[in-house]
This record gives sequence, C-alpha cells and structure tokens, in this order.
Amino acid sequence: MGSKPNTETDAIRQLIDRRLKTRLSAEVMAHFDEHVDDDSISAFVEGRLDANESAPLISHLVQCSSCRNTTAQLVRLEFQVDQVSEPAGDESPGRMRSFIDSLSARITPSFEEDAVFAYQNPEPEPTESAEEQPPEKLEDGK
Amino acid sequence: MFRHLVVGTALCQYNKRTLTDLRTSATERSEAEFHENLAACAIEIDASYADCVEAYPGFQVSAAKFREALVGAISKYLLSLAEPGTVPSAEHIRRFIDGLQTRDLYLAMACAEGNEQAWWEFDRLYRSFIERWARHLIRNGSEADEVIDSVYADLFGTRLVQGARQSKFVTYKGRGTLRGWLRTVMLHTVVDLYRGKKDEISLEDWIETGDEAMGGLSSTGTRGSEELILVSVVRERYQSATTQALDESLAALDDHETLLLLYYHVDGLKLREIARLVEQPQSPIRRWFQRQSKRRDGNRPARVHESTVMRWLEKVYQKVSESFHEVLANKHGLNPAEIEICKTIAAEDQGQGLRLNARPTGTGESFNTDEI
Repeated sequence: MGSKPNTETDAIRQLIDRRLKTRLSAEVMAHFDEHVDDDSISAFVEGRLDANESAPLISHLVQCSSCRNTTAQLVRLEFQVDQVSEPAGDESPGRMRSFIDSLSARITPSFEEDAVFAYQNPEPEPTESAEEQPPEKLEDGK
Repeated sequence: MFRHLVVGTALCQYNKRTLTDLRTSATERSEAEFHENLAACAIEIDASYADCVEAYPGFQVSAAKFREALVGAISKYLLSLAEPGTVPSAEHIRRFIDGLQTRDLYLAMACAEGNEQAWWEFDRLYRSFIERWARHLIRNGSEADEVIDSVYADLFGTRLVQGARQSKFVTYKGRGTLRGWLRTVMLHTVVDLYRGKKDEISLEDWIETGDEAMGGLSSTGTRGSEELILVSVVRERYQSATTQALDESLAALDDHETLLLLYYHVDGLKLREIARLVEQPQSPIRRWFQRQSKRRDGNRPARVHESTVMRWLEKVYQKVSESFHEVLANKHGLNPAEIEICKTIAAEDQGQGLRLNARPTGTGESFNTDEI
C-alpha cells in the first residue's frame, strides 16, 4: 500500500469514486422515459446476450442508473437467496384449480379503448410494443 | 431565382423519392432474404417444437404459435439489432435458436394461454422459488404474500385489453431462463409495490444516490479575509480543472469499462458479485475485457475470479489516470507540481465528503490491494 504506484492508484480510484457518485446524483433527476424490459435485463444478467445484442443495452446501463441498479440488485440478491433453503410447497390436489379460478374472478376490462374496439375486433393480438413495455411499468417511471 | 428554387425543390423531392424507393426495395430484399434464411432453419424449429411437446405433452401450444414466438425473439434480438441493410444468416439464426430456453418459452406460452396443466407445472417448478425470493426481498410476511399474489396475478393476466387477457408471460422471449426472468419481474413488482405505498424506496436504498450533496469539490467555504478569498479562487481553479480532466478521462472510456466502474463504485457490487455477473464464458463484458488483455485463448480460465475483476478495474484506473494527467498538462497547462496540488485538494474534499456522508453502500468493499 505504501509504494508509489499503489498510492497513485488509490488516489485516482478515490477521485473516480467520488466523481461517479456526484454524477449519479445529477442522473437521478434526469429520468429516462424508456427502460430495458425484464426479458432483456434477465438475459443480460445471465450472460446470454452476445456482443451485438448487449452493446445497446450496455450503453443504456451506463446512462440509466435505474436499469443498472436493477441488474446490480439481481446479481446481489442471487447470492443471498441462493443461501436460503427452499421451503416445501403446498401440493394439495385441487389447489391450482381453485387458484386459477380465483385469478379468473379478478379479471377486469381495462378502462381504455377495449370498450370501443371490442365489437370490431373480438380476438385481437396484443401489439408488440404493448408486450415489450407494459404501460403500468412506464407510468411508474420504474 | 424562384424557378431555380422550384426546380431545386423538385429535384430534392425526386431524389428523396428515389432514395425512398431504393430503401423500400432494399428493405424488401432484406425481408425476403431473412425469410429465406428463416425457412432454412425449419428443421431446427420443428425439432425444438417436438422437444417441447415431448417434455410437456399436455400443454397444447400449436406449432404455428411456437414458431411465431421464435420469430418474435429473433426479431427482437437479432433483426432489430442487425446492421442496416444486413440480415442474420441462417447459421446465425440456428445458433440463436439453439441458445434459446425453448422449454421455458413453451411453458410460458402455455401458461399465457391459460392451460391448467401448464400452470400446475409452473407452480410446481417455481412456486417455492417465487416465495423464497419474495420473503427475502420483503421481511414483512403479509407484504411478501402481497408480492406473490401480485406476481401471480400479473403472470395470469387479470386485465383485459381489447377482449384479450394480458398475461405478463407474453413478454418472456426465452433469451434467458424463465427463472431469471421471474427474478426480474419480482424485483420490479416489489419496487412498484413500494412506490405505490410511499414515495421513498427503502429496499436497499433503491437507486442509491451516493452522497446527497456531492458538493464536496466546491463546498469548501473559505470566505473572510482577502487572503482566504485568494486561496479560495486558486483552489476553485484547480478543482475545476480536476473535475473537467476527470470527466474527460471518464468520457473517453469504453462503455464496458464505464459500466464496470459504475457497478463497483456506484451500485456497490462486490468483486465476487461482478465475477458472478461475467461468469458465463460468452458474457459480453468478460469477452470485451479478455480481448483487451490480448491473452492467448488457451490460457483463458474457465471461471472469472475476483482477482481478475480487480485486474480489470486496475487497468481502467490506470487508463483514467494517464488520461487525467495528460488533460491537466496539455489542456489546462498545469505542471507536475500543480497536478499534485489538484490531487491533494481532491483528496481533502474526498475526506470531507466521507465524513459528511458516511454510508454503508457505494463502494461495495474495501479495495484490498493485498489480494492483487
């Protein structure tokens, strides 16, 4: 630690540490409108994206502290959760049927355009954009 | 002159139209080529479907729907990211399909369609995992139950849009594992839950802001006598030069290097956690740093050790340091003694900042140089 090279490294490391945190506080105020979807984030954290696929994602992570923090949290939590033993699940017969029934009972139409379009197009496919970015996630600003 | 303008505008419009036609033509050619390449992978797609049906015989996802889902994944990850005017080759598509978690995708698709057997299987495979994560993320039992309930409701889709149930499963494309995707979904569900309840997120200081004020570099209040004002002016000059030089040096880094710094210094990931993030041999971050190290393939270790990540970090520090000195010397005209003053002032401010804002996170761990 006391040698010159290490002192130099420590000094620059501390400078970088402080500067990056300073810049982050400014970034927090500048919210991004679009965030990376769950599918891409999980594929990235699992190291399954190739260089072409990950390049735009890495650029986004450098800029967007929210998405980057999500990836960091996932890595950190994976360590912690792995150490906890799995609890035994409830395997009683019929539980899934009643569970699905209870979920089905909660289905509600959205307050949006479905009332207008329902009669025009009874079985529409959800749009790609709706699939990629659930509106509730974007509204929250994540 | 007016005529020239009209002719010029018409020429521009003609050129624009010609360009548009050319582009359309190129797009059509690209599309045709893509479909040709996709068709060349029919055997792999059929084999993949057959494997899923064999694994999950009762799920009743049609071959057409399965193929549609694969094309969706290819479109998202290969087509949209391809260089303009290029299309992924048949071999590239084959490799991509081979890397997809097709059984997970098949299970997710069946669940999205509401197949009861699929839900039973999903519950059997993932219920305990979901519960474990929920109870780890939230200590409060009833709130953890709320998260589990919310995740299941989102996965099932309790909202109708244009008559169709909106299952969250349709957003899963099979690039990563279903388990990894669920982790991400759960984390976001927890964050949304907290956001819904209160403005501030207490989950591990979500979006860690580091030092709130961060005004350390300009917060040294040296006012009073003229001498102190003079000292302050000189100090500010050096502080400004330091900040500019550091920003310029950081901006010159590749995104991979910046991301590594941010994970370590801002998000507080430990070396072993970063090592875990890059443990897959095909990890783009790992491959990028390995390319920089110019190591011979035969010497590459199968596993990335913490010390490897530390070496990567040190190389980035070195790069920043060299650039930092160069900018201060060449752009700001500072001599070595002045550069040392810059670093000393910055170090003093660093000490003040740490005293003011002592936080457990930030730098994930002490950078133990003994481990190098």
